[in-house]
Amino acid sequence: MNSIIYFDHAATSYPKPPSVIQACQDFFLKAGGNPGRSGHRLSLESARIVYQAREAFTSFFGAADSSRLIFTSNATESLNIALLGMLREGSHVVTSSMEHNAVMRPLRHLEKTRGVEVTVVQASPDGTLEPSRIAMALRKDTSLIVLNHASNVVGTVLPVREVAALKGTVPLLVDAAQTAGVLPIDVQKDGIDLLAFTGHKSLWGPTGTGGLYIRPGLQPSPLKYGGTGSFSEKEEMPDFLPDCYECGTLNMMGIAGLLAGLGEVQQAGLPAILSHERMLTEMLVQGLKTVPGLILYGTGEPEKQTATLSFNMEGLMSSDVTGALDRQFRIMTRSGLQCAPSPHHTIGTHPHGTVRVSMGWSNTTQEVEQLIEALSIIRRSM
Amino acid sequence: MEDSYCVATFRSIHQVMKSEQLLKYKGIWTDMIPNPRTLVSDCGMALLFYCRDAVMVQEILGGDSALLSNIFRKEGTEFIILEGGESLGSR
Repeated sequence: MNSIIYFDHAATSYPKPPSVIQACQDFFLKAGGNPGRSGHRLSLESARIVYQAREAFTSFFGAADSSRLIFTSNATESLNIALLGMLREGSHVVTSSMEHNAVMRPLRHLEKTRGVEVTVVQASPDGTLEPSRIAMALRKDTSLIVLNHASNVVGTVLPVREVAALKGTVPLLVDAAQTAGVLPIDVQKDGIDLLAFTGHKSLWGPTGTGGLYIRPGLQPSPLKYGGTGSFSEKEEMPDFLPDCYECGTLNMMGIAGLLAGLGEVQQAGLPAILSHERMLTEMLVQGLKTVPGLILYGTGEPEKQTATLSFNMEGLMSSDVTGALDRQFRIMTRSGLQCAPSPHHTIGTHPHGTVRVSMGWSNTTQEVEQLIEALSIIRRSM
Repeated sequence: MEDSYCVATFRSIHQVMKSEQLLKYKGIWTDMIPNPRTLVSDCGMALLFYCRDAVMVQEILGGDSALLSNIFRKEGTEFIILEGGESLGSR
C-alpha cells in the first residue's frame, strides 16, 4: 500500500483537478494584474476572470444578479460578513445545534459584545433537525436564521428548504461549506436569503477562496473597509455591490482556480457526484458495521447525508485511530471535534470527538475496502 | 455624429464587464478603454461606442439594473454629457 488514501475532503478536497492547478499558473502567466484598478490589459484580464467567476457562480446557485455574489477568503469570512453585518444590538437569532464554530463563534462574540440573543434549536442525536422546531423558536423580533446545510461532523443534511417555507420574512443564512458542489442549491427555489460557501472543498478550488450571495433587499454592513477601485475620490466606502464587500486586492490566483474547479464540477455533474458519494457512503456504512466494537454516529442513511461519517472504536481515542490509519496505512482521516463542539454535544461525543471519514469524487470503492480492512486490523491488534 | 465616439462610464468594474457583455450580445460595437481622467476621478474602465448607438446603449444599460452612470460624446479632447443618472462631473 504505497499510495495515499485521502478521506479528509470535509477539511479540503484533494487532489485538485489539473485544470485548477493550470488555471492558477495561467493567472500569473497570462493575466497577473490587479482587477478594477488600472486600465492596462493585465488588469483587464484579471477583471475578466473575476467577472466570469461571478457570473458562473451566480448561475450555479440559481441567482439572478451577479453583482450580489461577492468573493471572500472562505466560508468563515462570508458567515462573519452576514452575521456581524446583520445582527444589531439586542437582535434575536435562531440557529441549530449542528453548527460549525464558523457560525457559533461569531454568534457568541455578538452575544457578549452586542447583547444578541442566540436561540440554539436542539437537533436529534443522529444530527437530524425537525424544521418545525426552528419555526417554533422564531419571535416577532427575530432578525435572522442561520442554518448549516450539512453537518461537517456526521454529514447530516439539514432541512433548509422546509425551514425556508416556514420562516415567513425572517432572512435565512445558509452555511453551504459542506454542500456546495455536491448537493444542488438554488437560492430562489430553496428560499435562501444569504448563502455562504467555500471554494476549496467540494468546488475543488484552491484554499483561501469562498463567497457570499446576498439577495436583493438585504445589505449587511461590511466587515472591512478600504480601496475598491471605484469612487476613489471618496473616503467613504461605496454603498453598491459587489464593491462594498470586496475592498483590498482579491485572491486572483484563487478565483482563477476556483472558476476552473466549478467547471470541473459542472462537467462531472452534480447528479453523478452525488450518486458516487452516496454509493461510497452506503459501502462505508455497511463496512463499518462489520468492524467489532465500532460505534457509528449520524443517520447511517446515505440519502440523508453527505459523504462524511463519524465513528469511534471502543477502547481507543479517535486520535489513536487516525494516527494508526495514517502511519500504518497511509489513510488520512480527522480526529477530535472538527471545529464543531456543538454537534459533538448533540451526538454525545464531546469532548473527545470522533474519527471522521469524509469522502469525495476522487475516492474509489477499493479505497473504502482498504479503510475497512485497516480498521479491522487495528481492532485485532488491540 | 455618424462616426463620432461616445463613452459610457460606470460605478464599478463589474458593471463595465456586465455592460460590455450585454452590448456585444445585442450586436453593438464597443471597446473597453481606461476611464478618461477628464470625466471621472475614478480608476478603472469605460466603454467606447459609436454615438449613433447612444439611444440603444441608454436603453440597454440604463434600465432597472442601472448599470450606467453617464454617457459622454467625445469632441476632440472634450467630453460632452449626453444623458444619464448621476453626474460625476463633465468638464
